[in-house]
Amino acid sequence: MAEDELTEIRRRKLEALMGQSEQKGVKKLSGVTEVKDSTFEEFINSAPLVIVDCWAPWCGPCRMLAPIVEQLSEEFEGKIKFGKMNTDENENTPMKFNITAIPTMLVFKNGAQLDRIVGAGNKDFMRQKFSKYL
Amino acid sequence: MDFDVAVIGAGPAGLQAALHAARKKVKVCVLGKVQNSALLKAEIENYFGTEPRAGKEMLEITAKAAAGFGAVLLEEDLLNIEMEGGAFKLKTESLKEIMAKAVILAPGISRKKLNVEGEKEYHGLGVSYCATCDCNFFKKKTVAILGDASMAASAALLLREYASKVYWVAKEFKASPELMQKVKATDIEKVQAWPTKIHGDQVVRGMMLDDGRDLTLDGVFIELGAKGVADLAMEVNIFPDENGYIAVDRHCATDTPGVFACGDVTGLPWQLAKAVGEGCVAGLSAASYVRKEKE
Repeated sequence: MAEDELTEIRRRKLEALMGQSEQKGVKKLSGVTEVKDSTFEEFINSAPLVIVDCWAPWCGPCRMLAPIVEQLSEEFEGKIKFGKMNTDENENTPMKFNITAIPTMLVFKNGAQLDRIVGAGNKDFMRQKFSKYL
Repeated sequence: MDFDVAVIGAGPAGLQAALHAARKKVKVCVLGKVQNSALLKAEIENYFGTEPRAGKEMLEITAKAAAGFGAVLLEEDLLNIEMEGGAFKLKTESLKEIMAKAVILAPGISRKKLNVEGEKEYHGLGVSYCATCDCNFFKKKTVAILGDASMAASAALLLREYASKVYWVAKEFKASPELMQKVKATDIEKVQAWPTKIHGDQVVRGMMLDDGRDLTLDGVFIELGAKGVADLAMEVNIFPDENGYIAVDRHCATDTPGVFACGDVTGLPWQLAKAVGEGCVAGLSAASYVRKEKE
């Protein structure tokens, strides 16, 4: 399969997924900060407890997790600061933290890595995971 | 190929769902292999109206009955489902594309586990369960795919587009002829063995095999048997619960319109009577869903 064919498949998959999100009434995410390689250090030091959701557009579980993280970011407002990083557009941070599977959530306390959560679960499952860092 | 209802799974729940949907005169297909059903080797002694009876015989009778009502039993595994508008596009291991208006998930609960040292420890640090999600992290790297069926072959072919070296490790290679042919046309190396340990430091560095070899690797993709429940569910926007089950209402409907589920995959008890009962409900519900869509 040629690279351009793969790009085309990804584009179609992404469009389909975007369409599904709109159909399901998922709003544009707002409570979660978009983080890039260039802003990563600053972001993880911007609050005592920070969680960064590393994702990619063609990853189905990542797309399902996104609205859940958004909702939980409101529940945990003032306690945990949430960010998300597109690993397709930012390669340095995933490489630095040895990320080889997505979704992976990196957890930071006072700027130092505390833990990582690999994989996705439903809202109750994720709430339980996040609560243990409080 | 167009169908009204596609049933995923050819065990008691799936066959019963197919039978009941087909009796309602909707076009039904079944994906999955009867020989993979957990019922195949069971002796049933607790089912309504029967004396102890071989599961194999019950499967064969019901498969024949479902076909008699018009259901098409494809006897092949599913590779993936894509949602397109309100419909579903299913790709099979022989690379057929099927369009369906409703889907019934009856894949059972996989009893296949790798249970190899290092699997959990390195999950996300080289060990992956989703080739589509994670292939991009293995550009120009060396990876192994574990599994004997078409899902493993399909993952190996995808990974070959990214990695510089791909091993396909299995005790037997049982993918569809179409996928075996595609694998043969590449430099994917088939290794007939099974892992005893995945090892590394911060990340995966290799995998010990039961033939004494130690493969040097950056990644291990686990694709055992037919498509896993979590993978299947998430392709139709459903998160399994913390026990890996799919939640349904009393009509066996999931949260995704047009997707129904029945059998062991909806939770305990893992009993034939429950699988068959839910199969009936799911089949009728899916047929009714499709008929409403037609009106």
